[in-house]
Amino acid sequence: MTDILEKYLFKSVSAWPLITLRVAFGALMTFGALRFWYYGWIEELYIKPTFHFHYFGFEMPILSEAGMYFIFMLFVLLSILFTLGFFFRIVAPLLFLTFGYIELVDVSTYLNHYYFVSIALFFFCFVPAARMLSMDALRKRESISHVVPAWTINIFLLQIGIVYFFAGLAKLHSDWLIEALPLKLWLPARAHLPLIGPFLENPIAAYIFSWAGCIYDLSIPFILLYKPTRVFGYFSVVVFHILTWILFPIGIFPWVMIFMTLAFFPPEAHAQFWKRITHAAGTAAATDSMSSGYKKLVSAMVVIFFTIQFLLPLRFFVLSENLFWDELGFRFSWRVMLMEKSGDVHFRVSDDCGRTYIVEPSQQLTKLQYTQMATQPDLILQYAHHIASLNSSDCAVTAIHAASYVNLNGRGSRPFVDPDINLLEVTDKGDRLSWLLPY
Amino acid sequence: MRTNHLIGIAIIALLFSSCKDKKEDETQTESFATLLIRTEADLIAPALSDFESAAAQFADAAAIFDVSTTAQNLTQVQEAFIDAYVAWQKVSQFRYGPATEFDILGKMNTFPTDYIQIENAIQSGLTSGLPNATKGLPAIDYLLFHQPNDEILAQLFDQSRKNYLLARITEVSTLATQYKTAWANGYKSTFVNADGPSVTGGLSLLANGLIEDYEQLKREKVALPLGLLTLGIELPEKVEGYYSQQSMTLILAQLDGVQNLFNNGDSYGLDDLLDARDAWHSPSNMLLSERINQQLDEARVALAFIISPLSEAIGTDPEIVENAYNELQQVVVLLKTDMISALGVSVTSTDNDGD
Repeated sequence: MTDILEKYLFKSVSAWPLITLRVAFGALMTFGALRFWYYGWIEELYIKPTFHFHYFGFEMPILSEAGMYFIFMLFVLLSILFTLGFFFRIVAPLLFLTFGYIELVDVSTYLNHYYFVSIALFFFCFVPAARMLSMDALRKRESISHVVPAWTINIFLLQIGIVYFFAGLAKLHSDWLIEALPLKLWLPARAHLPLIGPFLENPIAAYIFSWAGCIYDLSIPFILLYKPTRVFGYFSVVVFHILTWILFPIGIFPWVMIFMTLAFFPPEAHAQFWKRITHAAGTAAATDSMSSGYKKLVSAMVVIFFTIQFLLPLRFFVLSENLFWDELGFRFSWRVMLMEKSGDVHFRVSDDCGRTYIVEPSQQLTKLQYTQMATQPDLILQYAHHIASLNSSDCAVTAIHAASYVNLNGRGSRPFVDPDINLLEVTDKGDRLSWLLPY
Repeated sequence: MRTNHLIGIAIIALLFSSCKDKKEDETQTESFATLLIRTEADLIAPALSDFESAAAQFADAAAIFDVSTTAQNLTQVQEAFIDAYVAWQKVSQFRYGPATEFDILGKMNTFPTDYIQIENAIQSGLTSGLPNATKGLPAIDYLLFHQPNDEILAQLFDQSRKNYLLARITEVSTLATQYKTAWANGYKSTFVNADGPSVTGGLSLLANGLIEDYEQLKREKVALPLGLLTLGIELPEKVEGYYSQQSMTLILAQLDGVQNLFNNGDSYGLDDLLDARDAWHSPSNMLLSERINQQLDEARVALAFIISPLSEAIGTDPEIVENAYNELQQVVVLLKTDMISALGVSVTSTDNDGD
C-alpha cells in the first residue's frame, strides 16, 4: 500500500504537464468567460431572473447587475493572470471562488461541464502549476525546482478517468443501448449537417453512436494510460469531442477535454513541446524533500476526495427508484447527454379565503429556468414554496398543488408530481418518492 | 486493445454505411426540409394573403363609410372588421422573423384596449405616435362596438373620432401588407433554409411559435378572464373582442389556425414529420399526431359548450369555461413535451449537456 502511494503520489516527476494544463485551461477559461459574456448569457442567466433556484437549501447573495458584470470582469482578469502564472498561489483560489460563486447562484444553470471545471480549479489551488513559463518564475530570482510530486499530476488523470468512466457506466442502460435513446430523437434533427447529415436520420446512426459512445467512455481512460495505445487514444479523443461539438450545443466542453487529456502524455513530451516553442531552460534536478507529515496529509486528502468522487455517482442505488424520473442522485454524477426529458407544469394555489387560482411559472421564470424546473422534482418543490412566500394578499396560502406532465425519452407525457399532494406540507428534505407519481 | 478495435470497426462501419445508405436517406432528408418548404408555400403564404385581402376589404369598406356615413355602411365595416379579425387568428402563429421585426403581435392585437387613452387621443386630435394599447384590432373593436349601432353612428359624425378610426384601420391594412411582403421578399428563403435544431432553426421556430400562440389562447383568452390567474376574480372585460362579443368566434378561429398549421392540410405538416419519426403516444396507445388532433378536437367541443358571449359565460357558467380550459391545457402538454421531444428541438439558447 505504502509502495503504491509512494509511487503514484510522491515520486518526483517533471512539472511540465502541469504547465500545459495551466496554460490550456487558463486560456479556455478566459475564452469561455468572454464567449459567455458575448452571447448575452450574463444578462439571460443572472440579471433577468427575478428568482433563483438555490442549492442545498442555502441562497447565495444575489448581486446587482453591475455587481454581476464586475464578477465576470474579475473572472476574466483572474483567468488571464492564471494563464500567465502571475501570483498563481493567490490567483488560483480566487478564480476557484469566483467561479464557485457564479455556479452556486442558480441550480437551473447546473451543467456537469461546469462541475468538472470547478473540480479542476479546486485542484489548481493546491498544485504548483506556475513553476515554469510563468510570471512567477520570472519574478523569482532563485532557481525553482522543476520537479513535483506525482500526485499533483495524477489527481487530474484520475479525475478525468472518473468523468469518462462514470459517463460510460451511466450509458449501460437499456434505453441507451437497446433503444438508442435519446440519440434516436436527437440525431434526425441534425440532418441538415453536410456530409454526415443524411446518415443521421437513419436509426442505425443512433445505434452506432450510442454503442461507440459507451465503449469510448468506458475504455478511453485505460487507452490513454497504456503507452502503446496512447497516441491512438488521443486521436480518438479529438475525433469524439469534435463530433459531439458539431452535433450538440455543448459549448466549450469538448475543448476542455481535448486539452485536459493532454496530461496523459509523459512529461518528456510536454517538456519537448514547450522547449521547442519557448527555448526554455533545462530541467533542474533538485528534488523537493517531503516530510512524513506532508505525505500523510496528502494521502489522506487524496483518499477522502476520491472516495467521495466514487461514491457520489453511485448514491442513486440507495436513493432512487427510477433515476431518470425522480433524479435522486442525478447531479454530480457525470450523466451527460443521457436523456431527453421535457415537461409542463403549473400550480394550483388555494388560500384560507376559499379562493383557488393558477400560477403559470412560464410567465415568471426565464425559459431556461422553466424548462429545467419542469423536469426536476426538487426545483418544482422549491418553486411551490416560493409562490407561497410571494403571496401579498390578506389571505394565507394553505395549499399548492402541482399539475405537471413529463415526457421521458419520447415515450409520451405522463403525470409527474402527485396532483393530490399539498407541496407546502413537503419539506425540502422530504422523501421525494412519496410525492412523485411512479413512472 | 479489443475495445480499441471495436472503436475502429465502429468508425469504419459509420463511414461505410453513410455511403451505402445514401440513396434511401435522401428521401428522408427531403422530408425534413420538405416540412419547411411545404408549410411556407401551402399554409403560411396563403394565410398571409388571406389576412392581407381581408384587411384590404376592411379598409375599402371603411373608405366607403368615410364618404357615405350611413347605418348600412357601418354594418358593412363591422362585418369586414370581424372577417379581418378572424383572418388575423390564422397568422398569429408565425411569431418570428417579420413578426418580431414589426412587433406585429403588439401592434395588431394588444387587448384589453385602453379606451381612456383612446378617448383622450380623439379629444386632442392625436392619430399617430400612440402606444399599442390604443391601436390595432382591439381598439377598432372598441370604436365600432362599444355602444349600440345608432349611437356609434352618431358618434362617428365627429370628424376627429372618425379620423382616429380610419387611421387605425389604415394601420392594420398597411401592416398586413408589410407582413406579407416581408415574408415573400426575403424572409421566406431565410425560413426555409434555416434548418437544424438550434433555437434559430426553422423547425424550432415553427414548433415553438405554434406553442407560444396556443399558450396565449389558453392563458390570455380563457384562463385570465375566467379569473384562474387572478385569485379567482373574474375579469370579463379582458376577453378578446369584448365589445363586438366575438370572443368565441375568434378563439375557435385561432384554434383552427393552430390545428391547420400542425397538419398543413393535406400537404406535408408537423403531423407527417412526427409520423415519419414514429412518434408514439404510449399512454393512449396511438400515434402522437393523432392524439394531438384528437385532443384539439376535444378542446373544440368543450369550447362549443360555452354560450357566447364569453364575457357573460364567465359569470353564468364558469364551470363550463373551466372545463374548456382544462381540455385546452391537455393540448399544451402534448405540444410542449411530446411534440418537442419527438422533433428533437427542445433546446435553449445556452449551452447544454442534456441533463
